[in-house]
Formats: sequence, structure tokens, C-alpha cells
Amino acid sequence: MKKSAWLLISLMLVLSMFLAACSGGQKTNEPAKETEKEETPAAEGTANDEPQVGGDLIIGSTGSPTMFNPLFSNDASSSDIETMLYDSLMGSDLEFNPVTDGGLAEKYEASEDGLTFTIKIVENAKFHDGEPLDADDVVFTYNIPLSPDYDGVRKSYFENIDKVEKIDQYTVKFTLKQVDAQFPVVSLGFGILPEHILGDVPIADMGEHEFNTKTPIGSGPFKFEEWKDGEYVKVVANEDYWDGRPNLDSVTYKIVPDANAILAQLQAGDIHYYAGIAQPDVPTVESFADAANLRLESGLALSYTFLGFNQRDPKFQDKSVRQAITHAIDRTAIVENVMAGLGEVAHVPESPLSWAYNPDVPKFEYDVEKAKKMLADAGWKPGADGILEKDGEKFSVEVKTNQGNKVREDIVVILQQQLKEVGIEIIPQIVEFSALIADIDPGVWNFEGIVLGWSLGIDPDPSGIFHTKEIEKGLNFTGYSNPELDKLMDEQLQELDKEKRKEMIGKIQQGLAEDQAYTFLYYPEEFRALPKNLEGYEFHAKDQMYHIKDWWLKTE
Amino acid sequence: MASYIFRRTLMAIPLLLGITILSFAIIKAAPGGPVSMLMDPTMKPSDREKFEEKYGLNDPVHVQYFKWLGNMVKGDFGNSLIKRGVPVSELIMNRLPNTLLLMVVSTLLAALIAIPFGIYSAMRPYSKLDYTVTVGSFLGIATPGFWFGLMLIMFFSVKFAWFPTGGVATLNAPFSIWDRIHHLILPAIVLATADMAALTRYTRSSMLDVLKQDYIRTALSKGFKEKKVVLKHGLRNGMIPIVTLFGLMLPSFIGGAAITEKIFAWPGIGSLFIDSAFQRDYPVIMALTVVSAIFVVIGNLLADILYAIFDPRIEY
Amino acid sequence: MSQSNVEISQEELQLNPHLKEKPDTLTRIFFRKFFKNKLAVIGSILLFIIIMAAVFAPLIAPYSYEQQNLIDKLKPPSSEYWLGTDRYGRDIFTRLLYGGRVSLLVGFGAVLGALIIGVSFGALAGYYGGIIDAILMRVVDIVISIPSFFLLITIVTIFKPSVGNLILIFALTSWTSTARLVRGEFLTLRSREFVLASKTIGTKSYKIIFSHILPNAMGPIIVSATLLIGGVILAEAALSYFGLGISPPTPTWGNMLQDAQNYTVMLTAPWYPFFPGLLILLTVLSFNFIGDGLRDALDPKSLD
Repeated sequence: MKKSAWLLISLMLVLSMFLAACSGGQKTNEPAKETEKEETPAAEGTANDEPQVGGDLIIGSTGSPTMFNPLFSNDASSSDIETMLYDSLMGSDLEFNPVTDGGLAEKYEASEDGLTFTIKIVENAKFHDGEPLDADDVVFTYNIPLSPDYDGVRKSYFENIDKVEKIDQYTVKFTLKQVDAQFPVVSLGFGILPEHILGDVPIADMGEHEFNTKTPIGSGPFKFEEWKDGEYVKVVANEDYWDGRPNLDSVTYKIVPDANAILAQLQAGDIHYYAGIAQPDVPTVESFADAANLRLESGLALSYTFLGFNQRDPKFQDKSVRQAITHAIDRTAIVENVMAGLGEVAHVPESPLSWAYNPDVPKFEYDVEKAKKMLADAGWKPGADGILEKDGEKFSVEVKTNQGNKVREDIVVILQQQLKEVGIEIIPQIVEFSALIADIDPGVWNFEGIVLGWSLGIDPDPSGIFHTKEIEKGLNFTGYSNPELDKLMDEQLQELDKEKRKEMIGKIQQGLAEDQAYTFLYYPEEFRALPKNLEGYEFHAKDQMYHIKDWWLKTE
Repeated sequence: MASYIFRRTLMAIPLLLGITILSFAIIKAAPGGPVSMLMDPTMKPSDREKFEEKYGLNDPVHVQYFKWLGNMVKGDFGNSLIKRGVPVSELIMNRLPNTLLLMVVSTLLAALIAIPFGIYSAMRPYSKLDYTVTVGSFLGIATPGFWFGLMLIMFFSVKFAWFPTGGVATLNAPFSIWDRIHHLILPAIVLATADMAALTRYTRSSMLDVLKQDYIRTALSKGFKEKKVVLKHGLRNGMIPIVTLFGLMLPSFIGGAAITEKIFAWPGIGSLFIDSAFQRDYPVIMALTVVSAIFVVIGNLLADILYAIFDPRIEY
Repeated sequence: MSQSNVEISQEELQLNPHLKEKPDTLTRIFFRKFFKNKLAVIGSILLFIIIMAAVFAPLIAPYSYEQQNLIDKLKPPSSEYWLGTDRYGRDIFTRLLYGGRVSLLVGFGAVLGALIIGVSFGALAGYYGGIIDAILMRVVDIVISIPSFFLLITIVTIFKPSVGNLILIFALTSWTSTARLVRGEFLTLRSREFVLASKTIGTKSYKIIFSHILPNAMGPIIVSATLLIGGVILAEAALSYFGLGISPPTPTWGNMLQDAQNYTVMLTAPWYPFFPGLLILLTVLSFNFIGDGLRDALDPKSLD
């Protein structure tokens, strides 16, 4: 069931401490419910190892959902709920490959030329109100964002779709405008909406329709029960789920806006599951986990944090200056001290988790002397106060980051200290959220340096952020440009052979690392606290609700 | 008196206009907008503009204001731009009772404790009890709510498990008065602590002034019982500044509990205000500004009426 | 501050040959009464020390306020670090000294500004009443109702969160309570006999306001000012809670307290929030003691 946030075409700003969550599916390990359990008296296979039905799981979140319609919402909390309420065509596995497992698709076929996809969906899926889900609903759903009246946030995910047709009652065909390697991962993960309910609603009004907030109806494993704004969202098991009833009776998604209070609630047992533990708090949670009947699951998050410079400023146009800055930053110390050691130093804008990750790129290790020399070679000489100068200009940079993210605030403070060593003055500016977003808006670009994070999409395409064409109106707010890489980025999107594409993206990563398009800081490790007796849980870096249908609470 | 109230209510109209114009201007001057929060970063500028146009966010500010004002006069506060489609009035009405409950309880709690202490302090200035009360009340003022709240949770909710960690009621449990009270206690204590301190100080100061007045001294020298004189004659006059203070406190009901609400996951108006401010959810912010203005008007009116009751010398 | 009912004119002196000694000057009366109040004296000394420590921070501080030492994170108080270290291994004692500069400056500045605006508004409204009162008080109402949080975000984002801007913001948003209080006092005082008498003999309005009524309203004003200072110092902390205070690494008591507001820190290094909290308390207490002392010393009714 997918949610929408996992579809992030390329990468999406990680605005808060919590990474946008992501997708999953529900099919995998057939819960061998009814079979052979009774007849094996063998000790190992006791009843306790069979999924047990029942229980309410309370999931904590500092963010509040906004609505439950995957085509119109774009925050992680809404996505978490949508994952439970809706089914999408395709899911993704733990390695982020598109799989029919966990989706409505039974069979999925791409044409030779990569322009058409034919998908056969399961025949027994039903919406929560009992109406069957068929090809009409799929066609209906995908035509919403294609409509000129659509005013939601997801338009760019569907732009490449030429048309969606119904072949028969359970088969649909997607025709693309051009070859798009990301299509199955990115565009086929949206929840399917019921045509029999929304069919008559004008698309221009759909974003404000009551369906989204009062009576969302999908075909997913859980049914919507209640949303109390600022308190919780409750969903209950869908007894008639086409793939078998979920094990949990209900899931309560509890909103606790204060990040410290949520830890207290976790310790007190008022929250059972929480995926947003800040790395510095991990040792604390570990210390009470046992007493609170919790355990921690962790893995690398699909994201990275970086320091970017406004390359419209001449001093940052010099590649060797950017490289020198990276040399001057002790990233290992940052990970050790800010992240309690729970992360990895980053060298490229792609997670080591991705199939396209290239470990063989130029690296700029911590080396203050080398940094000083490189800066001197670039014409930057220490002035009277120890701060570098060139042509009368001081090397003084205002570095912004968003308010509300302690880890990033800490990074900026530490950067100030470290860069002082080589004579670069950093002036930290903690900026309120909306104001910071406005600062990096195309055409505004009101920043010198910035510390932010990108949450990576499941597809490794880097062009959304580093391509020259994204400077004017897109996400390339630092103004990085390298025509050679531009060409490679265009080509890899047309390449359907995964191995070849991997090679191309690997080259792009080398180029970006050599250029130090950003100073890549680290990949965080993500920690999730869950009940000790929660079984069937798998850590999916993009989806904290991965396969929630199969989770179950073991009772002694 | 009735005509006075009527006049005051009429006077509230220009007040409301002033407040809304100024607020609107300030809110619009803040950088950013709902689109940057709502919109996916991958969105094309043309699509953003479409959204902004649909909601008139690109019109000149005065056009937007009059459009908003026109709807507001008809009682329509519009829909949230973030929780799209949800009427603002519904968002507010869902949360207002929670905040009112919390604020009324904490204010009463504060007054019940602070006023007697304040009076006693004034009757025996510079006594041991006075010093204790003074230091105690300043401890209250100097304790930031965000720290105190978390401390209470860590000790009384997590460590001793005497109180719930937050929320207005136990999840998935049937309604029960006791359960609601149980959830109310810690946040009310946090809020009352700050109010209590100010109230004690004002009461003490005001009572000290009154107790020096000639008529009190006369009464005392005539041999009336001190307690009777203080409570019957002194209190009435000493309460005037306190009453003003209550009038002043009423508008702070809207935003005053924001931090406490956040820490205790209390779904109130204050946290809604802050969230909307960060998200630039203009219709919600404006509606809350109007609600806050109404509280100001009521607070003033109440204070003035109570004034008249306590001090017959005040003429209207 | 002079007061009508205790003034002794030259002529009176001559008319009263029995007066042997020169009468006390107001200043002497003031000091005598002030020093009689022990707590006020203690408060003054305490505040003096705190202010001096802040002023001479560069001389006293054993470390640099921004020098990080990541190996010594969150160390408990010791001979090396008297009050322990913070999350970056910076000396808390040093940071408290420097933090005091900003916090006190913001507190004093904002309260001074708030008093000037608040007392002027309240005095004029309360004294004249009627239409002037109505208009001035409507302005007060408007200021109270404007979401100050927005004012903050706007000013902070447009002008950056500097000390000057914080003073401006707090002065502009906190004068209303003083104005209301002063107005309340004036409303009751203006119909008192001594005011009526002054009016009858044709005393100028400004003189009645400043020399006659204001001294009598000083009590509540001083109390509110002493409360306000603490309030402003704490408001700066609350602003930091929302990330809108003074940007790091510049310390203030408020942002230190806020920085310590973290589940892990509170469990593992409880002294960190304790010290800035204690200093805020001591400062607020001192102000109050001094306020009480001033209040009594200035009170024309407690001359004896």
C-alpha cells in the first residue's frame, strides 16, 4: 500500500527530523494461518510462533496528518495513514525494487520499447464499503492528476503518462510519452481511489472534498474509523481484506507534537511504536527500552545531509575552494558528536542502500593543512584577524538551517568551529521553516550557505537536483552546473538496462563528488522503537509501516 | 449600565477592524506561504501559481483582505489551506473547549491559592511567611513552562506513573469524568504556577496600599477585628488591580497555553495557532485572531463592570 | 520624586521657629528607608554582582564562550569546569557570564521601553478619561489582540534576531499590561481629594499627572516592572523553544535553558538546565526585592 511520499521522484526535502515515510506492500510471507499448525506437536513450532490476531498498536508521531487522499496530501503523517487505508498497484521490496508483492497487481508487463505497461490486478479486491475494485477505479484514479483541473501536489509524478486504458475488467494499460526508467517505482505506487464515490466529484473540487478528511474509503487492510484533530487517527482491521485480515485489531496513530514528550510517552508505555528517534537520544531510549518492553530496530535511512553553497557567489564557483572546505570539515567528528556516532560519512548524493550507489568516487578527507594550502593557492590569504581575504573580500559565510531540527543546528555550530581553523568565518542563522523554504525558492536564492537534508527517492535519478535545467525553476537552488553531467543525466533516464544505467549514474556520482556540488556530510542511521513482542516486523528504510498487515503482537 | 455595555459593544467594531487589518498586513508580510508547505518540492511553478490563483493568494493584499472580511461578516471563515476542505470554524470549535477548560481550571487554581497568600503577605509584611510566599512565587515566575512541564512528566508520569503523560483522555477508553480530571491536573499545574506568582505579587502589593489607607487605620484604631476589616473593607478596594489582571488574562487564553499544550499533547487553540503560523495557514490564523479579539473585548468589558462593582467612585 | 502632601516650603520653615534641625531631603529619606529593608539591600548586592559579572565577563571567564571541546561533552561540575560543560563541551560558567550580558540587556531594554510606552498611555487614558481614554485603550486592545507570535516571526525573519530587535519586539508587545494597570490606578486616583484640590487651584495637568498621581501609582508600576523583567528573560527562552531567539553560538540564559531542554540531557546532565534556571531565578528575585524596597521607599504614605 503505498503512500505517496515514497514516490518522490527524485528527492524531497527532509523538512523535519522525520524522513518522509514510504511504501510497502502486504503480500509476502503467507501467514500460514490455518494449515498444519495443530498437527505438529514438535516443540519448536508452538502456537506462539503463529501470528496471533488482536491488539491495538499505538504509533506516535510529532507531525499531524492533513488529509487522507494520496493524490492531494504530501506529508509523511498522512502517508502513514494512507498506507493502511489504500492499496496501490505495485509495492517495493526491501531493496526498493518494484514488486507486485504488496500491490494490487498480479502481473506486470513492460513492452520492448519501454513505452507501455500492462497490469493485471487481483480480482477479489473490495473497497471498505463492499464495492469491488476493478480496472475502472484504476483508470479513474490515474486520470485525476492528468486532468487540467487537478490542483493537487502530485502532478509531476504523472506527467509522463500519455494515457491509461482499461483492457478488460481487471487489466489496465499505461502508455508513456517517453521512456522513463523511474515509472514503475514512482508512478505505480499511488493508492487507488473509489470511482463509485468520487466519480461525480468535479476534479477541481476534489482537493477539498469531505471524502479526504471525513470518510476516506480505500481497499487497504485497515478501515478508517476516526480522526480527532491534534489527538489521534484510528483505523481498524478490514475483516474482508482480499489478502486476508490484518493481525492487529486496530492501529491508533497518536499525535504528540513535542519531541521530548514523545520519548516520555514511549517510556511510560503510552506509545508503542515510534520511528523518529533523534540519534542523540538513541542511547537514552536504549537505556529504558528493556524496562518499557521495547526493542529498537535500525538501519541506514534513505537520505543524506549536506552543506550547500550558493554558487552564484564567485567564491563558491571555484571548485578547489569547495573541495578545500570539505577537507576542512571533520565529518567523522560530526557524526560522532552530533549523531552519537549513528551515521556514515557521505561522499555522493545517493544512499549506500541504493543499487546505484558508487563507492568508488573521489573523497576529500579531513585534512586542515591541505585545505589551507588549497585555499591559499586559490588566492585566499589570512588577514589581520586570521580570517581569509582575497581582493579585499573577507571569507565570511552566513550558513542557514531550518529551525526545529536540533541536529542541524548543532552541525552549523560545529561547522563554525571547524572552519575557523582554516580562516573561514561562519555565521549561523537558524531560520523558521516557511521562511527558509521561501529563501531557497527559485528566483529568491537568499542564502550563502545552507545545511539541509534530502530524503532520497527509491529511484536513484540525481537530475532533479543537479541538472542545469533545474536551476531556473527547479530544486537546483545552489546553482550547480556541469554540462557534461547534464548530458549523462539525460541519457540515464532513457536507459532501461539496469546495469548500464547503474554505470552511468555511477559516473555522474563521480563527477558530483569531484566537483563537490555539495559538501556531502553524512547518511543518518534511523532508529525505531517498537514493542518487544511485535512480530512480523521488517525494517524498510522508506516505509515505517512496511507490511503492517502482517505485524502481530505475541502474548505469553 | 446596559447602555454602557451597548456602547462598548459598538466600539468593539472599529476595534475588530483595526485588529484584523493590522494582523492581516503582518501575516502577509511574513515570508513564505502555505504553498511552500503544502506543495511537493517537485511541483512546477506553473502548478503552484494555479493553486495560488485558485485561493486568491496572488491578489493584492487589500483585495484579499476585503474578500476575507466580506466572508467573515457573513460568518464564513473559509476552509483551511493545509487541511484542505476542513472548515476553519470546525477546526477551532473542536479545540476551543479543550483550551477553555484548561485555562479556566488553571486560572481558578491560581487565584484560589494566590489571593489568600497575597492577602496574608500584605497583612504581615516582612514576616517569615511573607518571605516564603515571595520567594515561592518568584520560583514560579522564573520556572519556564517548557522545562517544568517536562520535569513533571518525567517524575509524575514516567517515574511514579501517577498521572498520564499527556492528551485529554485515555485512548480507546470510554468517557469518564475522573479520567478527564486526571489528564487535566499536570498541565493545569504548569499554567497555574506562572499565573499564581503574578497574582500573589499583585495581590500583596495592592493590599499593602489599601491597608495603609486612612479608613483602614481608622477602623483598626476603633478596635474592629483586623481580619474583619481587611476582608470586608480592604479586600474590596485591593481587588481592583487584580480584577484588571483577570481582564488582561482573558485574551491570553488563546495563545498563552501554546507551549504547555504542545508538551502535554493537549489539542487546544494555542498549538493550533502556532502550527498554523508555521504553516502559513492564513484562514486559520485570521479566524484565531478574531477569536482572540473577541476575548479582548469581553475581557475589557468584564474588567470594567467588575471595576464598577468594586469601586463605586468610578463614573462612566 | 516629590509629593504634594509632604512638601515643606521655605516659608513654612520660617514660620516654624521650633524646627531646629534641617528637615530630611527626599533623597535622604529615600535612602534611609531603602536601607532599612534588608532584602532590598541583599537584592541590590546580588544584582550588582550579576551585572558586574556580565559586564566583566571577558576578564572573569576562564574559557571562550564558543570554544568547543567535544571530548568533554556534558561533564559534571568539577575543578576544571566549575559548573560543568554543555553539549559541545563548552564551559557553562563562561557561557552564563556572557549569556547574562544579552539576557540582562534584553530585559532592561525591553522593560524600560515598555514602561515608557505603558505609563504614558495608561496615565493619559486614566487621567483624561472619556474619548481619549476610549481611543488609547482601543489601541491597547489592538496590540493585545495582534498575534505577537507573527509580529515576532515577521520582525525576526526580516531583520534577523539581534539583541536590538528582541528588545524592540518585547517592548512593543509587553507594554500593554503596564498601560492597563496605570490606567486603572489613575481612574481611582483622579477622583481623590488631593487631585480634586490641585485641579481647583489650577495646577497644570502634566504636573498633576507626574507630580501628584504618578507617585501614588508607583507601587503597582514597580511591581509590574520587576515582574516584566523576569517575564522578558523567560520570553526570550520561550522564543528559543520555537527556534526564533538569538542564533547560536551566542549564549543567553534563555537559549541555554532551551538547549538543555532535551530528554537525554535532563536524564544524564540535570545540572545543565539547573544553572541558567537558577540565575534567572536569582535575577528575578533580586529585581523583586529591589522593587519592594523602592516601592516602600518611594511611598509618600509611609513617611514615618
